[in-house]
Amino acid sequence: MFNTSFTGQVQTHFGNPAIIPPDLTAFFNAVSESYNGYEEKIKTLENAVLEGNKALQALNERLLKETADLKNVHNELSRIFNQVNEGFFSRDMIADKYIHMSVGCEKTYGYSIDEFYNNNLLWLQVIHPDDLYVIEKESEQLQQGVQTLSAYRIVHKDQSIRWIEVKAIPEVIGGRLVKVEGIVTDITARKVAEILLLDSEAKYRSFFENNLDGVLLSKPDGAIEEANPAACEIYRATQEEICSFTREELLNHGDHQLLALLEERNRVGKVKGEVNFKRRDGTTFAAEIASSIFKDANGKERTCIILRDITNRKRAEAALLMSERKLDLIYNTVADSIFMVNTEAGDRFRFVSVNSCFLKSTGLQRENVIGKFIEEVIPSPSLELALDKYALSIHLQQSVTWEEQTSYPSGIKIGIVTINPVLDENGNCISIIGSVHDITERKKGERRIADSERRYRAIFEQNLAGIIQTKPAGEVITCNQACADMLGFTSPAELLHCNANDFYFSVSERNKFISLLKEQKKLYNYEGILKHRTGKPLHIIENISLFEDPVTGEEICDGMMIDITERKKAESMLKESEERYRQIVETTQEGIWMLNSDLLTVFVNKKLCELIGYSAAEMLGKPATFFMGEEGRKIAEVALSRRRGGFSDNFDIPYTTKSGSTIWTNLSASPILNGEGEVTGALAMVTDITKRKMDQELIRISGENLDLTNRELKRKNTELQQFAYVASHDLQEPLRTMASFVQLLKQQYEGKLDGKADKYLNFISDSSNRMKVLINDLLDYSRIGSKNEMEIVDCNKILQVVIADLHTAITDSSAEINWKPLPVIKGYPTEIKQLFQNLVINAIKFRKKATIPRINISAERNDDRWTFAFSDNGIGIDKSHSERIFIIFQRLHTRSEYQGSGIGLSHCKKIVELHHGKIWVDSVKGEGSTFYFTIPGKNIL
Amino acid sequence: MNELEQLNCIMVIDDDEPTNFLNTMLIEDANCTKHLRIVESGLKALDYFENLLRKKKDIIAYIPPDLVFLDINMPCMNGWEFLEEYRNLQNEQPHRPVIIMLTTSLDPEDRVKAANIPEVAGFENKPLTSEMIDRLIKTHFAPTGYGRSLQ
Repeated sequence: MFNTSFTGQVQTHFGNPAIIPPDLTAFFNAVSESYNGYEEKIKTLENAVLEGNKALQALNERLLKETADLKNVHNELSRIFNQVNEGFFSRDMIADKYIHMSVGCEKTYGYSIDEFYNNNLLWLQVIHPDDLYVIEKESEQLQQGVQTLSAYRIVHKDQSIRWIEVKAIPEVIGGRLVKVEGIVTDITARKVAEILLLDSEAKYRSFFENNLDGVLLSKPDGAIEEANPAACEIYRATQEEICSFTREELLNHGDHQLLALLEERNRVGKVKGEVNFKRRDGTTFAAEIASSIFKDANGKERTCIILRDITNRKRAEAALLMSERKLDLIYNTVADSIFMVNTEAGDRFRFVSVNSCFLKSTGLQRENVIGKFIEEVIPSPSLELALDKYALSIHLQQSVTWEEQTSYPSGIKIGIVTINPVLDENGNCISIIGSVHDITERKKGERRIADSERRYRAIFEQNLAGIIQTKPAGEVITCNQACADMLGFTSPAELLHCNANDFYFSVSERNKFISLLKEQKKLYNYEGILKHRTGKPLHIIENISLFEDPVTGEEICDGMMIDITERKKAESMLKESEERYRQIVETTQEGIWMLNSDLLTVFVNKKLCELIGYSAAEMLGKPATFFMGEEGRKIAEVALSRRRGGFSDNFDIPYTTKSGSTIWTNLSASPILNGEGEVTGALAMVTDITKRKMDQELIRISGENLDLTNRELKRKNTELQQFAYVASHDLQEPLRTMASFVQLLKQQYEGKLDGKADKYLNFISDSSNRMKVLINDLLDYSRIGSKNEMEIVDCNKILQVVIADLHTAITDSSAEINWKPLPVIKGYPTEIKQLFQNLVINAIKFRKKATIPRINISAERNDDRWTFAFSDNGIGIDKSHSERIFIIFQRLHTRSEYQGSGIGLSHCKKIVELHHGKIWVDSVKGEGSTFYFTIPGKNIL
Repeated sequence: MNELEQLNCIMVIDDDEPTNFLNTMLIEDANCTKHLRIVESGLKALDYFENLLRKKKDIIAYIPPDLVFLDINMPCMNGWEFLEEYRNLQNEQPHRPVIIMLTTSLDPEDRVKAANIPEVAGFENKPLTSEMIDRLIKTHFAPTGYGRSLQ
């Protein structure tokens, strides 16, 4: 008659009961107060019985359930949750509508959740009109933020009246009730029982008598007043016997729990627990008791004890514990992660359980998982995937499997997830149980294999070497691009249609190679000639191995080849080049000498042998210094150390030939460097310069001599100049004396002696005068260019001065002088003036008789010089004298014909030469002369 | 010097008037020649010899000289130039005078140069003296019954 479902236990399969017992104290008190005397006694008794019964029922149920669980350890985990009969709700008090209602509500009310959602007032409409006051009271309390527990009647959809108990928890924000969350429990059965109990004492007696559990009514001191048949059975004694028992006789004193229980009962008024009892025969039994103190009608305290022999249950519990441990063990030792999430309002999922593998695999702490929403545990994007899959699984109501990769504290994990929705009896999903099979390592392995394959493909495809697999018969299995390129095909695919025999100029050639391969299994550096698609020979070098296909067992030739056609070409070119080089080396007119790193001779050419006079055999292995004298060795020491330092040089060095003579050579020497830049030897090109050296020596000596002569000449010239000056100066002295006295003699004795004497005196006078002129001329000549500095000279001005100075002579001779503009030059002004003057004087002096002298003066620029011309219409000069006229004191005419010392033109010559020019005459005798002189570049402005 | 010992003609080639005056005096005083010819330049001397050889043999003024005193330094044609021209005439010249270079030049090279010219018999420095004339005549002209002849 008692429905046990009201207890509202939520129990996991781990055996950790989460009992939410309804607080019935208030109820009991209310009931107690409303009855008096016996009624109260009965009621209390009934309550106690009821309590005990409930507990026992719960235990029974748990035992049953857990036994069932045990049976369905792996596949029936979900069923646990289907037993939940409480309805959970969450109501938005502002919008006055439900946010969430659990399936339990559907059971309680008979209305579907959707109906509640659609009709916000449905919950109120179903309340029994007589009980509406309870809601009003409850509402007041909630508004004040007080948690309520109310019991009232509702009209079930099937029109039956039901009792429900609502525990409501308000959420007040800013003094305003915003949300109420609560649990709705159907307590109809309990209520009915209560009412029934209250209805009839008979019913009580019946209950008392017929109860399967033992019921003892006693005094607080422990004296038993009444015992029901069940109790008698448990104690294996009559009621009278039991009533005669003292507490000590009833209880096993070894149980220390009793005192604690009694204490608690005295304090609280009631107690529940397990106690060991003993029988008169000495046997003991474990019993679950529920005891409460109540006051009888006389106000005396009485106690009620309900006991149940739980020996059998204990055994079952022990077995259950074992099973649970096993389950735990299995749960926590399986290699897969197992987890359970509860579905909650708003399609949220909360972790309620995970096994140790889950924690180990993810590296998460249990407290960071259990009780957390999955979005707090699973990172994106796995989270979104999981939510999709959960939704799918819930929708399909069947298991869903997927692969996911998630980054957990332990690292990136790849797993295959399988989930199963746990449905209640109405087919609603209340939770999801899932397992994760970790395939991270497998994936890694797979990736490594894929990597390896990729690398292999890359090597295969991108290899510069041609790679080809063929069957011995010639069928091409595979090849890479390089192979196709080599053979002249555009892609490897083209080759797959070919037979390898086609790549050879003759089948026999390939057969030869195949038989060699079969014999040796591996061929290294096999050189062969293949036929390019164009028919050209393709020189290749190939490494081939023969192996058996592990699958088909067929023989496969695996070859890797390099095109060496170019190399072959290069080799033959190298050979030709070397031949040419050899010819050059042997025919060159230069000696070639190569030394190794120890500076010993390692190569000499024919020419060098000829030069040094030794045979090649005699020279090889000897140091270069062996072929040198002292002088050569000194040079060589420096040179060779420079060579070691990596420097190239060109220098002269003497060698001593086999015959002992010295030859001079010019060496163009360079170090020989290896790839690392280290000096591994030296190479020299040797040219015989002995003759050149000798010529140089001769030139040097003659140069020295020339230098000496030059210096001597300069010295002598200076001396001569000095001499001429001194001589002429000193000569003047006695001459002047002579002239003076002759003059005196003439003045005093001319005409007084005889005619001869006069003549003599004239001779003396003339000669001394002439000598005076000569000496002065000589003096002038020696002075030319000895004083002045070069100046800027305007020849036009000079000429004007000259013409002015010679005014008398020009007038007397009626000479006509014409000139074209003359240049400005750099020169000695005094000397230039004398030059112009002498030339003009000469032109006037050597005029033809009875002809007006015409003098034309001009200057012309040719290249880098000015050429001056003084032309006249005078007597002219015989060609044979054109040189002599410029020599000092040389005269073409007797003094009687033309006056003058014959120094004028020599002055001119000296002046022109002073200006680095030349002077010459172009003349036709009897017609006139043109005197030319040049002023060269360095005196041109 | 008697007539038989005298030379027929002495020629002096010099451009210097006082020198010629002195030489004339000296040669006349020495009484060693029947004729004396003073020629003022090489060109004139050459002209003399040409006339002597070809055109004007008969003309009394052009007497073939036995002894010629030749100056070097002369305007227009000097002694050396004269000698070159004279050599061209020489082959045709039946008469070969004794040519003595008479110069103020102290240059030994001139002496050497003169020695290498076959036509030149001697090299003397000015001034001309009677002793020099004596010595030259004794050296170059042996006394014969008919006067002096070239040795």
